[in-house]
Amino acid sequence: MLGINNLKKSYDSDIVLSGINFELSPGEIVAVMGPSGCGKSTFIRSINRLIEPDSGEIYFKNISIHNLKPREMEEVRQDIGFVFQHFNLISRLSIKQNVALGLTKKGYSIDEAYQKAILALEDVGLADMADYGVNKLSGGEKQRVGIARALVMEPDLILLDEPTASLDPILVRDVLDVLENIAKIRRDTSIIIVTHEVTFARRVADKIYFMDQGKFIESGEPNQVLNNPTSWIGKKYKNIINYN
Amino acid sequence: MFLRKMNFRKDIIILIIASILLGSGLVYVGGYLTDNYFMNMVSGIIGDYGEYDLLFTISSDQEEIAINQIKKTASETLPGSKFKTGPKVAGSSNYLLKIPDKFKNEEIYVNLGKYFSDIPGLMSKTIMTEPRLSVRGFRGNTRAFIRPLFEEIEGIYFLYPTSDGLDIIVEKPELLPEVKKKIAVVLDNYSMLEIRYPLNQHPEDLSGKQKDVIDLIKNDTKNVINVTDNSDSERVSLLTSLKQMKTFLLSYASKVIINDIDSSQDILIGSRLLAMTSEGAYLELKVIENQDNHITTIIQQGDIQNVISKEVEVFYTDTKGNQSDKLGNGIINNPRHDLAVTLASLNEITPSLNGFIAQSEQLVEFSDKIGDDLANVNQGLGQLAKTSENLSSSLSEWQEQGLSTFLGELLGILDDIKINAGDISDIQKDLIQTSNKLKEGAGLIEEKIIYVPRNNGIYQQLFDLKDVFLQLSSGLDENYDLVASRLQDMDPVISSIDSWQNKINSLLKVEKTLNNGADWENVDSIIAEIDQTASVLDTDQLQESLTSVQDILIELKTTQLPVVLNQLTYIQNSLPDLKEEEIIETLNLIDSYIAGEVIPGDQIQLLIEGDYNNKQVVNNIKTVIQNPAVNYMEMDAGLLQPNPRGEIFNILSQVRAVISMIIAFIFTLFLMIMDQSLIISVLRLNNRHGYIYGFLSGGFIFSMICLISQLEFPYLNLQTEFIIGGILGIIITMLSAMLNPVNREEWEAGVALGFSPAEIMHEIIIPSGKPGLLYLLNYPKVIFKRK
Repeated sequence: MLGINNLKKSYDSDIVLSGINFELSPGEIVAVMGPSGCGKSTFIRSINRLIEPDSGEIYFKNISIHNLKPREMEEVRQDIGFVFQHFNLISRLSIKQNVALGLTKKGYSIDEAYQKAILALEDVGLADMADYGVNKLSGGEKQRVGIARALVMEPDLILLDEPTASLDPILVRDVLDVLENIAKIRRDTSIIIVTHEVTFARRVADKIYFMDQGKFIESGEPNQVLNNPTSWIGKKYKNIINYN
Repeated sequence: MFLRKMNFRKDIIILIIASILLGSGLVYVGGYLTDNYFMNMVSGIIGDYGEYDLLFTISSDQEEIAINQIKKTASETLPGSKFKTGPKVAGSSNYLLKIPDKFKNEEIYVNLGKYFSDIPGLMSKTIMTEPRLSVRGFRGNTRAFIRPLFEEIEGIYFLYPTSDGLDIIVEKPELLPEVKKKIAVVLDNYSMLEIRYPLNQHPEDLSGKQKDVIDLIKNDTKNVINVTDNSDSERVSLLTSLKQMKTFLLSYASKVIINDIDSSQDILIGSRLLAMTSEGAYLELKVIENQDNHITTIIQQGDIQNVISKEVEVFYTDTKGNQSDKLGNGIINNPRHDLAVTLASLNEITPSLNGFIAQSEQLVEFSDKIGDDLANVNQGLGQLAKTSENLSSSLSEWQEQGLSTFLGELLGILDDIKINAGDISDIQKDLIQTSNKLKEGAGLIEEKIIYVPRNNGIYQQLFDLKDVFLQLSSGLDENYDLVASRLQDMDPVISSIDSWQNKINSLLKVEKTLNNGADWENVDSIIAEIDQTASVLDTDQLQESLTSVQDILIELKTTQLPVVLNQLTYIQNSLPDLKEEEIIETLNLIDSYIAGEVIPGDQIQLLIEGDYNNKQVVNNIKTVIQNPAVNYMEMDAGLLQPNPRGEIFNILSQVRAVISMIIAFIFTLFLMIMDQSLIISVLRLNNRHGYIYGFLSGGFIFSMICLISQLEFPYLNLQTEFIIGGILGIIITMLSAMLNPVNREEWEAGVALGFSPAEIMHEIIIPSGKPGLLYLLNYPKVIFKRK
């Protein structure tokens, strides 16, 4: 589904990604974890080239997307859902329109897009608020709209960039429940989620990657890397689990 | 590059074109409204600017015929002209005429006066073509020199000469300040130096002096051009005419002349005196001449029609104009009365001349008779000669032939000779009398002709008449002299005849005394004298002279006298009829006009290029001129006259330009804030060249609006306007994040959804931005128009 070879990114002298190699199978759910500033968001944004990597190769569905032209990349992005940490909803649009927006790019008529949007909103529990403005929503609700916006595109890959980082702890559970539910429902959809929610990752992810200073320093199945961590990050997360 | 990549170029191009067109439209509308408001306000006061070219002011009572005539003339000479009726003011109507552009040239403008010269009721005609500059006060031939320099100035449509200057029609009002500036530069580069001789001074070899002066100062100046114009100006001609008119009127004005006063020094020219006539009437006098205790005054007020004595008493006046001390006695001189007397005298000549014609006829008869008489005299003398021969015979023969009878016949002959000689003497008297009358007439004409103006035809006629009189008189005098000499020649004959008569009477007595012893010595002396006398009298010459007199008289009768009589009749009919008050009023009017005016003498006019040391140059010239009475005047080459209409409209055009510029700037600012700032924000969001785009877009939009709307703001050209717009764009770029922020998260959301940058702009960024032109243009492309 997704293969990344030697992905590098730096801002001036600050090396953010230093030769990342990554593989993702169809339907696989991967959690990327690490301390703040370790390059997790840069990594996940580089996958759909929201951030242009300096070098390296990215293969999506066996297509090298790292050197695609903008227009070609735009088509690829329609198959890669993205859920932002700060929701990134279009404030002028209603909930329904936010969700339906991407569908218009895919050629759906507005009505069709609305219908699909409503279905997607039902999946996240917000169908009855479809015509609301997004500014009236809570953080959790906004993030659920964001998730619905990604899901409605029926992507092969969903990238979630710390979807609960900006949420009130009370609301985190709602979002995680939605995500967990989606993971169960859409088994064919691959997911990469950058998160600090270690219990969520342990419960949902097929694989966990620990990142530090632009590199994956440990990866493996959740039980493996969280029960017997080898990296200092894994150990930290283990302590968190133990603490909880 | 980013713009190209983001595929938003088309939108930006459309936006900029729409912005420029809309901005230009707004500027145009703003300018139009400004024009409409201010120009209407001002044109209501001083007329339309530049729209019309000629203003006719017509007497309202002849308006219709005048307008028809103007229209007819315009359609013939300036086809395509447009007309407009202007406001009516106090009995006059204003009529405006717009000349088609193809007729706007020097030839037409120079002849406009001619085209519309014959319009009935036309009070005035004013050229009001704008934008126009007027240069006046060219001296001498300066205009001919300066004009080509003006013609080199860009922006001048055409020029045409005026009385003493040039009017310059400028291509566009916006060019007026620049053209005016360049004309001022040309004028400032030259100075006029005039070397003026006093009134009536005309130096010999003026052209030589001009050359000497120029040669002298050539090295002290950059360039010297001789622009001397010696032809009298119209002003000088007018002044000369007025002065002659004054002299003419003064010669007709009634005067009081005061002679032989002790001192007239305290009496000023123009001061007032009072004169009292013998009838007790007062005359108000004004002193016009005071020289050598001889004062000449003109009568300002008072009637002298009924004054009998010409002598008057003259008094000073006090400050209130009342009679004061006595100055002396004066004599009234009434030239018009004298002229009337002269004419009457001339009239009297007419019957004399008629009598002379009759007399001349008589003279011709006399001359014929004289011929006969002289023939008789000659015959008598021949008989005397024969008789004297006979006397040499014996007295006995006398007796045989009847001496007493012969002597009686001889006495008769001698009487006839005496009578004939007396006739010749009468002719002589007639000649003298006629000649004297002719001389008297000529003298009268000579005396009175000084009161007749020289520019009047009467003067020449009187002058000719005087010559005819003198010519006639001279002819008669010559014949008189001839007759007189013949009479003198005849005097001894007559005296001899007297003697002969006495002696013949004695002889008759001899007849009685023959027998008593006659005095034969007397008989011998008679015989000798008769011989002598007969040889002296040349009767042929006298006959010839009288015949020539006859010829002259015949010519006088047939040709010259009728001419003289006709001239006298003409003079009588054409003498001016002036009243005292009219003369005085006219004199005062002329005095008020020509007060201070001096008819210039000769002058040298030099046009000097560049700066020079005036004092040094003048001092050098003085060494050539060598005349302390000469004045040296430095003045401008020409005066650029303010054109109040043009200035006002120029100010208004600048107001229009300022307002239009403000509109253009504000609209550009509006566009930059509402639209361009959003694009700039997107560029900056993507780390692109926001400042460059801001500078270029601001500069391009602003300069193009100025260019398309033909906005001519003083001191700003297209480049400057571009820079101003560019600076505005940079400022907007600096403030763009505040003025029209772009939400990065929304942008990223669009990218993540697979939208192109253009689609993100259309669907996410622009609809969220400010409702400007971009918003409006984008609105049709928005998928989700409402929430």
